[in-house]
Amino acid sequence: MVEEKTAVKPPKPVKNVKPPKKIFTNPAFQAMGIPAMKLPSRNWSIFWLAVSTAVGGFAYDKYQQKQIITKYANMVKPLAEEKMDTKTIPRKITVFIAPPPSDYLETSLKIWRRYVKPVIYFAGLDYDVIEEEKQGVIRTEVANRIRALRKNSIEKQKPKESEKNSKEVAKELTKLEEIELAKEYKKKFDWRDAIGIFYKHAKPETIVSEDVGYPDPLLTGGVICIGRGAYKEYITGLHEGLLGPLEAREPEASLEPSKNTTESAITIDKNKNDETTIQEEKIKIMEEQLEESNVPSSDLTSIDEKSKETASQDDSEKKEIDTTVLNPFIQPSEYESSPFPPLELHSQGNIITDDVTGVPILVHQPLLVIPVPNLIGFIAIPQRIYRFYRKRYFTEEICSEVTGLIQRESVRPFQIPNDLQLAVEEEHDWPNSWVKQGIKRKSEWTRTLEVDSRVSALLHTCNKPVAAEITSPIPAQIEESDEH
Amino acid sequence: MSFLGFGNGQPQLTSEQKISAAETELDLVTDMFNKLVDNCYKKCINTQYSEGELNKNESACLDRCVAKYFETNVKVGENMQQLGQTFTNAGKF
Repeated sequence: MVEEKTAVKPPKPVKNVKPPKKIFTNPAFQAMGIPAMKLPSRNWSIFWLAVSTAVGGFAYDKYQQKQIITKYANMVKPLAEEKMDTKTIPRKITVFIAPPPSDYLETSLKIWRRYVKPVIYFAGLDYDVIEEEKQGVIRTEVANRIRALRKNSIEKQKPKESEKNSKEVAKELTKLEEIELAKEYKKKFDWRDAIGIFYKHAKPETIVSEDVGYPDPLLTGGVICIGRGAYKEYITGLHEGLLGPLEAREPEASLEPSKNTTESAITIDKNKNDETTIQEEKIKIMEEQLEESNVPSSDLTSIDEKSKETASQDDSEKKEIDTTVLNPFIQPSEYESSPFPPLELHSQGNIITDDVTGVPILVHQPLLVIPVPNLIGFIAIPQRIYRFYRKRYFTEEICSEVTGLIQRESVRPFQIPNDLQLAVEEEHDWPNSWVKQGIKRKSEWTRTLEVDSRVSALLHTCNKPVAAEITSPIPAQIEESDEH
Repeated sequence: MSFLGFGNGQPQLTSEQKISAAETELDLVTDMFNKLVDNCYKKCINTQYSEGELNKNESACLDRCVAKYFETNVKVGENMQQLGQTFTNAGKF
């Protein structure tokens, strides 16, 4: 036993072969009490190299982003240094922001805050931000604006008889009426008259926007859609407002996309023609892809939220109706049959202007679509890291496009069908599970965007032209009849 | 007392009381206006005074500043009103 032990024992001198650590020191340093410096070990070297590459890459990217933003801010600065009369208000850019699928609005707001807002701010422009937390808000808002304009123009055309009547009645006042009148007086009361601002200077009669009377009415204002979904909703909203009826239809006829999840499955079975089977196959393929990629089910948040919201809405429907999201007044299949321009706005000619401000309405304003690249999921991490270190290219792209919009450069008429695919690259990032559910629930985001040639002829964009071969990864939707 | 027109005027006020109420209201509004002018001036107007007129950046800034100030003021006023009501109600118990 003892003999064996000694045989196994490793030879001792091997340890001593290891070279002594290199130490750099100096008698002067030693005298000062500075300890001897030595090179970090191999492992430490690797660690520091990795850390410094990661941090350095990020810092460089950030630095470049800042440089790019300042470059474009400086480009537009001369615009802000022009003088402006106190009676005018600056050009207004309308910004629609939608969250990326299965994520929070904050993701899109970051793009707005970091890359778009600074450029607009330094150009001295006004902006109006419309954001949404759930699908349909932007569409409803856009459509409501146009509908309000149409309703107003109808009212203007009506003869004003009611006012005369009220004046005759006004002679005899009861106490109730007096209170009403007092309330009205209070409503119309302008504090500016009371505190003496206009004591020496005359009160400006009208405040005019810069956009009014701009030589080319097609270059006034501007619309920025952040996110592919916002773009789709904006276009649909325009159609709904311009071509749709003024009042919502009867609730029976309306189509609530999320309600009839099960019903839609039945209808697919009913009218089983070739197209629907193709679609089903596509959905099946997507399902398989989904199972392969193992997307966690928690990624479905936004749709889940939506369904929850709608579910809770159904419960409290009688109590209050959510006015921020209205059911579409018109379906894409009905676009062709409705008159355009709407009869009420016929008198306005080719360019429809807002009745209050006199600015050409959103349709005429140049449109810019900004994609929100937002990959989620565990498997996509390498791709996400790659994008994280290359954000400067994205910044450059966005800033240059926004500057183009502000400087009114490169505005071109819409090209159908290519321009329907603006920012379509974003759709490759959309989680499969989300898309699948969206198709099932007939979400307007996953539906194929449909336009009417009469409306799209008015549209202008300052995005770069889209190549014809770029298509959406989402299978084309088949329009189903709305008879449920 | 009504602040910025949010008070629901109490019934049966003598004309003197009405006038004094209106005066305090005017005071409040004037005060708010002065503060607003002060703040927005400090925030938006470049103190180098290279030009006599406002440029676009300054006007846009002023526009936003005034709008924000008003909105905040109205919100604070509403909140104060609520607080005051709960306070007076609590006092009655």
